[in-house]
Amino acid sequence: MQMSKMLQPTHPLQLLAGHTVWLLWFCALYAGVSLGCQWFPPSPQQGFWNWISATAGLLSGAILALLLWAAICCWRSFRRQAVRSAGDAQPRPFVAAVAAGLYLLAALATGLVSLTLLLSAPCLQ
Amino acid sequence: MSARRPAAAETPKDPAHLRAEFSRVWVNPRGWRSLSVVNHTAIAYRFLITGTVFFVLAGLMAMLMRTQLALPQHEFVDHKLYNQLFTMHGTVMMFLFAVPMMEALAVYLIPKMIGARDLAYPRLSAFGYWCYLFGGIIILSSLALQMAPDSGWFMYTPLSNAVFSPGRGPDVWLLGITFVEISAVAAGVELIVSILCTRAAGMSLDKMPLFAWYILATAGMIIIGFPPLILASILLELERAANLPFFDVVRGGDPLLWQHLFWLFGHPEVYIIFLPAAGVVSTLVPVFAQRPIIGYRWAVLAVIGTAFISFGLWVHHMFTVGIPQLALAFFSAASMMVAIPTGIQVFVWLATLWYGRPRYSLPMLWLAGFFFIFVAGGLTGVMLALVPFDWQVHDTHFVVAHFHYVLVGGMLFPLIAGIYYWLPHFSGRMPSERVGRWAFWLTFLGFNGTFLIMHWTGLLGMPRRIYTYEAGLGWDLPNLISSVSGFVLAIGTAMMLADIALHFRFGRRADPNPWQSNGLEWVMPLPAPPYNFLTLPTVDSRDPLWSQPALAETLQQGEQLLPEIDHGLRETLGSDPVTARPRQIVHLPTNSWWPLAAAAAIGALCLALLGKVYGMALVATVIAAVCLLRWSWENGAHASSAPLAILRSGPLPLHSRTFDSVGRYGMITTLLASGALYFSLLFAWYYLWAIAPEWLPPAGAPLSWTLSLLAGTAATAACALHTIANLRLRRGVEQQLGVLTGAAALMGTLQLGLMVWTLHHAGLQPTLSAHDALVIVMFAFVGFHTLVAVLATALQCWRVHYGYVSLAVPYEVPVVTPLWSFSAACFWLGWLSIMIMPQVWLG
Repeated sequence: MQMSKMLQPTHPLQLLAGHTVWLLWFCALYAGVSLGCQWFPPSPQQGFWNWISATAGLLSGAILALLLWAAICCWRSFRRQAVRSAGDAQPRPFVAAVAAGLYLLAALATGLVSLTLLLSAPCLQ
Repeated sequence: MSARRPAAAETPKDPAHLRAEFSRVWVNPRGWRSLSVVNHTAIAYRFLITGTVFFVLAGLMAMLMRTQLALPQHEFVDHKLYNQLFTMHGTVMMFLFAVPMMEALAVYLIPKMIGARDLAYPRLSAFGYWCYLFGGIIILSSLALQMAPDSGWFMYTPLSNAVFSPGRGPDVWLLGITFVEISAVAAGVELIVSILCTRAAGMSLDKMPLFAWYILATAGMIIIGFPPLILASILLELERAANLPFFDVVRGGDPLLWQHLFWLFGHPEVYIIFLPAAGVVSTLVPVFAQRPIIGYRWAVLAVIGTAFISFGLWVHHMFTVGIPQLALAFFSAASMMVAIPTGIQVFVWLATLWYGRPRYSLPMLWLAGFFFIFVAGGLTGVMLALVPFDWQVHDTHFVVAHFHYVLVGGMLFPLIAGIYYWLPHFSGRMPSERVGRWAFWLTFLGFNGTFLIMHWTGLLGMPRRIYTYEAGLGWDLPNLISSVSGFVLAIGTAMMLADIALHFRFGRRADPNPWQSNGLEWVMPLPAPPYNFLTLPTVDSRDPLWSQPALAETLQQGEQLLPEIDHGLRETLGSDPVTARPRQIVHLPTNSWWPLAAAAAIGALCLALLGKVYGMALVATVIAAVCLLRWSWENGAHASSAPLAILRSGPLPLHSRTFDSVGRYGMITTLLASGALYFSLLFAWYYLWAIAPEWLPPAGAPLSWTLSLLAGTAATAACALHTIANLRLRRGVEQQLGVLTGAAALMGTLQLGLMVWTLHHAGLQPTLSAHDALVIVMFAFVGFHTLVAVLATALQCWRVHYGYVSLAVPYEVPVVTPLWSFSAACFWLGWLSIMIMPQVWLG
C-alpha cells in the first residue's frame, strides 16, 4: 500500500527518484568501467566493440528509457490532475509537473554522459 | 490519544496582553544566563557575528598573502608562514565562514518565512552554535600557537600524513573541522525537518517560498555530502595517531582514497554554498522587480537538479591524477551538464526582471554585481570542465581566479545583498544608501581587479601556493595589480562592515515592510520578536503579503492560529509535509544549559585528542554522553517539558502524543547522514580492494563465522524486539512495553559483547594492513550505533517506569526503532562485505 503510493506520479518522492536513479547509474558506470578495465580489460584492438562498452551502453539505454517513461507518466498525470483540479489549491499537479521535468533532466544527463562511450575505447589511460 | 485546545482562537484576546504574555514565555535571559538561550533568532545572530569575525580574520590572511606576492622575491612572510596562511585562509573561509553564514541566514529566516515560531529543535540550534564556536577557536588558535596546518585546505595525503607533516597542524585541522561539521549536520537536520513539518497552514509545497526550497536542497546536500569528509578525517586522524594505514600504499592503502572522499564532499560543498545564496537572489529579485517570480516550477526543478548533479562531478577535481580517459569523459560531460539547471535559474531571474519594474535599491546593486561575477565564474567553470584545458591550467592562478569568481560572486555578493535587505529585521533601521553604494563599487572594482587579472597570471603559468617568484617571468605587473586591487577590495568590504555596524546607531527607522516585500517574514514588528508571530498565519499564495494585505494586522490582533500562551509553553504548528494541513502542535523546549555543556565536553574531547591525553579524552566522552542523555531525558511528558497534567481538549494533539512527531523525522534524517558515512566506508573498502596494489586480504575468512553470525543474530533480535514494542503500542497495547524495550537493550548489549569477542578472537593486525584496519573501523561504526541504540532504549525503558513513555505519550518509541533497523542493516552489510564477498569473488 505504502509502496504503491510512493510510485504514484504525484508522490513527492518522485521529485527525488529521477536523479537518484541517475546518480546510481553514474556511479555504477564509473565503477563498472574502472573495475572492468582493472580485472578483465578488453583488447585495445577491439576499439568501441568490446564487452565493457556494450554492457555500459545497454545499461545506459535501459536507464534512459526508464527515465523517459517516468517523465511521460508524470507529465500525463500532471495534465489529468491540472484539468481535474482547475481552481483547486492542491499541490499534486505541481509535484507531477516538476517531477516530469526532473525525470527529463535526468534522462538528458544520462544521454549526454552515455555519448562519451562513443568517444573512446574504455581502458585507455 | 490526548487532544488539546482548538488551533484557532474563538474569542481573540487583548493583543497588548497577548504580546506581554508571549514576551514572558519567549524571553531570552540576559547576562551569563544568556548562554542558555536556544531561540533561533538569538542563535542566528550569534552565528552571523561569529562568522563575520572569522571572515575578517581570513580576509586579513589574504591581505598578508597579497602583500607577499605583490613583488617578485618579496620577503614579507617566509614560506612556512605563507603555507599556513593559504591553508588557513581556505579552511576558515570555507568551513567557518561560507557554510555557517549561509546556515545562519537560514536558521534566522526559515521559521519566519514559513510561519513558525522557532525551528523544530531549538536546543540542537544552540548545540550547533557552540560546536561551531569551539571548533573555530581551536582551528584559529593553532595559528597563534604557530602550529597551524600547512598542507592546503584539502589536506592531501601523503603530504598531510605523519611522515611528511609530523607537527600538530593536520591534527588541528582534522579534529577541528570534524567538530565544526557536527554543527553543519545538526543545522541540516533541523532545517529539513522544520521546512517539511512546521510550515504555516495552507503553505503547500507549491506555495513554499523559493528560499525554503533552496535551503531544503542545501540541507539535504549537507546531510549526504559532509559525511564522506567526516569519514576521511577520521581515517586520516587514525592513520596519524594510531598508525592505521588507510592511505599508505605499502600497507594496502591508497592516497587517492583521500582525494575521492574529500571531493565527494568538496564539489557538492560548492553548491552547498551557492544554493542558499541563489535562494537569496530568488527572494530579492521578485521584490525589486515588483512582480511574482516567473518560472517558479522551473526554479524548483533547477534547484533539485543542481543538488543531485553536483554529486556526480567530484572527479573533475582529479583530472590530472591518472584516471582512464573514458572516466574523465564521464565527469567532463557531467560537469558541463550542471550548467543547465544553473542556467535555468539565471534565466528565471532575468525573465522576472525583464517583465517587472526593477528598483535599483542598494540590495539590488549587490545582486547586479552577483550576476556579472557569478556568470563569469560559471563560464570559466565550463572551460575547466574540458579535460585538455584543465590539464594546462591545473594548479595555476587561473583556478584560483575561477573559484573566487564562483564563491565570492556566487556567495558573498548575494549574502551582502541579503544582509542589506534583511537589515531592518535585525535592527529596525535602514542601511545608508550612500555609504552602501561606495562600498559596493569599491568591492566590485577591487574584486575584479584582483581576480580578473589572476586569470591572466594563471594563463601565463604561475602556479598557485608558491610564496614568491622570480622577476622577469611576466608575472610582476599582474601580481602587483592583483595586490593593489586586493586592498581596494578590502577597503570596500571594511566600508560595508562599518556601514552595517553604524546603522544600528545612525540608521533611519524602518517602516513596516520597508521594501514592499511579499514574504511572511515582513508581517512581524521590526526588529523581530523572539516568538516571530503572535498568532500563526494561514496563507493562500506564494506571495502572502501581496495577496493578503491585511495579514499583518490580523496576526497582530491575535485573530489567527495558536494564540494561547497562558499554559506557559513555547509552541508552533506541525503540518503535513506536502499539503501543510495542520496536524499537530509542536511543543518547543525552552532555554537549556545542556547544549553548551555537551558542546564544551566535546570540545574538551577534541583538545584531549590533540594533546594525545587519552585518559582525559575518555572522561570528556563520558561527560558529553551524560549531558546528551540528560538532554534527551527532558522531553515529552517530563515536568520541564509538556507534562500530562496540562492536557486540554481540542482538535490538534501535542506532537509528543502522536506516533508521527518531528522527532521521528529528525531521526530518519540523521540516519541518512549516518548512512552516507557508512556508504563512504563501504566505498573505501571496495575501492582499496579493487585499486590498492598492496591490498592484502587473508586467505580465509578474517573473522569467526560462528561469533560473527551470533553477533548478527543478536542485532536482528534487538531490532525485532524494539519493532514489536513499537507495533504493539501503535495497536494500543501498552502492556510489556518496559519489558520489550529492556529486552531490546539487553540484546543490543549482547551484540556489542559478541562483536568485541569476534574482533578479539580474529587477531587482526590493523597497523600492518589497511584491510584489517578497515574491518575494525566498520565494526566500530556498527558498535557505536548499537551503543547509542542501547543507551537510548535503556533510557526509554526507565522512562516507561516514570510514565514519560506510554500509550498517552508514545512518540519516543517510533523515534528509536529506525536506529535499531539501521544498526542491524549496517551490521549485515558490513558482514556481507567482509565475510561473503571476498569468498565469492576470490573463491
